[in-house]
Amino acid sequence: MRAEHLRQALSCRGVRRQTVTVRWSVGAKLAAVTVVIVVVVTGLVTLEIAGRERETLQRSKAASASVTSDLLAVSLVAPVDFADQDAIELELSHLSANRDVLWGAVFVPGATVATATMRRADAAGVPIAAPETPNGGRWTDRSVELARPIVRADGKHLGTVVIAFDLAPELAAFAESRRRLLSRSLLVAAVTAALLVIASRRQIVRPILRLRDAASRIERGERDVRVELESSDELGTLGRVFDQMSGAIVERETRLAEATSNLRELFDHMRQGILVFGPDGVIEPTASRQAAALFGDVAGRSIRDVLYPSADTNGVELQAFDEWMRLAFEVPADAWTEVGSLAPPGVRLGRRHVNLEFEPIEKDGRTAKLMLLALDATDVHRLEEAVRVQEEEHARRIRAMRRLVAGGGQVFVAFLSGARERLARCRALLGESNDPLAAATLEEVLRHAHTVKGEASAFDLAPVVEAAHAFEDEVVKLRARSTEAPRVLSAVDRARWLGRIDDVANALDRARELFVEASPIGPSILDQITVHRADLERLHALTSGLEATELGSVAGRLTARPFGETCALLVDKVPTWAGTLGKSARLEVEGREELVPRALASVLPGVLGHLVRNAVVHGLEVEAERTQANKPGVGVVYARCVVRGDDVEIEVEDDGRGIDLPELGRRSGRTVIDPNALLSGGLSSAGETTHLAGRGIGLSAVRSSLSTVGYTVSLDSEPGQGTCVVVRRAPPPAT
Amino acid sequence: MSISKIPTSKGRILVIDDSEVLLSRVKSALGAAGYDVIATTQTVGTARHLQGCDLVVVDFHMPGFDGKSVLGSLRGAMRGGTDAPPLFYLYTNDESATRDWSHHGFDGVFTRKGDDRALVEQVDAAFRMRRMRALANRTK
Repeated sequence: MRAEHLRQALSCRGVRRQTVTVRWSVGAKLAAVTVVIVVVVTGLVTLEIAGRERETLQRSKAASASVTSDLLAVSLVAPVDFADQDAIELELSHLSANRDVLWGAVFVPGATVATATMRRADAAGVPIAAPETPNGGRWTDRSVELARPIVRADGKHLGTVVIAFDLAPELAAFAESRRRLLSRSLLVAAVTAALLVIASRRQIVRPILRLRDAASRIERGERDVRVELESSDELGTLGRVFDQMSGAIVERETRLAEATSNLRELFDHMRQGILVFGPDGVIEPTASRQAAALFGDVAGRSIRDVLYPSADTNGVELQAFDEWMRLAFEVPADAWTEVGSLAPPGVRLGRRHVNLEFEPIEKDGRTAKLMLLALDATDVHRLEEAVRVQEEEHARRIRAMRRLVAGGGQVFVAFLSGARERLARCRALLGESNDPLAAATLEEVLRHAHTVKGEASAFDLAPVVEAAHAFEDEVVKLRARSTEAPRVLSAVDRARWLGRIDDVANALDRARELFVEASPIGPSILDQITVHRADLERLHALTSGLEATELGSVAGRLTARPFGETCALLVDKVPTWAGTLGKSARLEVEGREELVPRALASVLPGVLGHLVRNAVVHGLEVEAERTQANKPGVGVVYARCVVRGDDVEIEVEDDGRGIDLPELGRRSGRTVIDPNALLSGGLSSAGETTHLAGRGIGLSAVRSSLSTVGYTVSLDSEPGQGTCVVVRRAPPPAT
Repeated sequence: MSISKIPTSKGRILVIDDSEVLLSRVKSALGAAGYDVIATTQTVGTARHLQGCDLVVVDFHMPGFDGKSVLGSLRGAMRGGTDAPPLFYLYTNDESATRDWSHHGFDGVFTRKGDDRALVEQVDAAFRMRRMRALANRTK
């Protein structure tokens, strides 16, 4: 009960029973084993030797006892034969002189009680038993009992004499001998063990301890550790192998350190910041220098907090990232391509924009970790933004110019011309000398600058306005110095003023270039004037039949229209048409300033509309198909006007798939070997009818329309390369 | 954007807001980012635009009605519905609306209203989440 109580009490106090493990050193173990072995061996040897000594002592005792017994047996023959009790006892009494005899007795045959006995004084209590055989011996712990027959000369057995010889002296001598042997053996064992312990300590334990210490030093990171055992035994060999191993470790560590250093160098010099994190989002300690520059100290931080430091939990970007993290570590690694495409492509950290790229580190078919490669793309984004703004500004100006062109480009041309004249006048007024400027001169310069600025504002030409305003400011400042005295313009001021005028002129040049770019008829827009259509019609009628004369030629040019005018709307239409069909396309206009004769110009908008639309619908492939055919993703349709002698040829060419004549034949149910068969109508290269094409009447209508004004159309197509449609004047009828 | 950069549409978005100016900017920003955008100030008849629409962006405070009622009417018009219903996102700077978007029945909220670039980034994230959910369903 008490023990149980104590156990429970200990258990309640949290005391745990501890197993004490005694650590034996190799030396102690060797010593213990040695002592045990030596003691055991010594003991066995001692016992063996003692046993043999005892046997020898007993044998010699038995021999002497046997002689005594034999003599007594002979001397007893007569007394026993004559049953002379006194003589018998006398003979027995002689035994008392022998100190080795414990007792002696004579037995007649068949008797169990001795006829006569003799006992030593200290053997009074020792029992005397009849012998089992008349001639033999029996050993007891204390004595040896020898029986000898008493035999008459004629061989008659008269009785048996038994003498018990005391073994005490022999046993004492044996015990002394054994004790001496044992003590000496133990001494030898102790000395042997001590010698063995000393030897083992020197030869085994110390080298092993040196090896252990060396291994510990290597474990602690020490380099070039040597044990340098000089013995030639197995431990010496082990020591040399250890030293070689230590050297190899040093060499390998050196190489590894160099490789690590090189990698680190590479790692740190990459433009991308690199860091690694696991499914818990915790960033590992190893991150590149660039990562630290981008995100600060990231080791141990959450990737979520690093990428979205100020995002609230409602933020859709943070939600998307959280979902993506779960998905990235859940799905099998072979689904990474799709998972990777769903990663956030970038984050904004304050004013910086960082592009992100994630790479998986796989283990057992799963994404075990993710490596983030982060690139500071702030400058790129800023540049893209600047380009975008510039493009938007350019587009805005182009739109403004197109409105200007549509609303009467000649006004703008007149402005350009007038502004240039005003600037030239300003330069002339400033002159080349440093003469004082008259107030009137200054006022005139100011008026020109102000007028240019005002007119430029009307045309929404911000750069011209700014440049004119800067020039105007200069003039106003000089005028403000004094209202009376003539103003002197220093050489420096004059040069600066002329520079301002040049700025305005340059801004005007850029506006002119933009105007020409926005114009469907190119530079010809600068040379156009507005006339009444009715006057042209009248002129055309008056010069009818005079085409071969110069007058007819001039009248023809006056009534002709620039080719670009016809294509103006198509430039915007082509991307739209293509977009509705899942394609990408643009229209390139060449020869937009070339003049198209009046008759052809009257039908050309419709004709070009058909041809360009056909090219987009039938000719151009979708982006994927074009990419597969090693073509740019955006298809191109060319509309060209080429001057041929006194006339022009119109070409509409695309870089699409060309006309598939076998397919065309299959659909029409007849053999088609010439693409011009499409001009006859009823054939369409489109698979289905849409609002854009497919009825097979487009080219037929084109041919019909052109024929009314004396022109013809032909097709040329190269499979895989594209199709070209050419409009040219019909040959004169054969006479 | 130049013609040579015509992208294939990344998705169709319906934007409902009472501000023409904001719609114009949103349309321009999302269009430049490659989205096909339908922008409207009207709520009547808007449901016809839902067909093929991937995302609906709704302003919260509009004269006479709020984003919640617009959402209700659009969801009502979808009943019997489409295979892949669009996501409905609130677009607001209103703190309480931002906090309670889920309570109002929206799939999420776009904040930082007025920052066009932030809107594009948020719309991109919403589309990514839509694709992630589809991928997660496939891999289950």
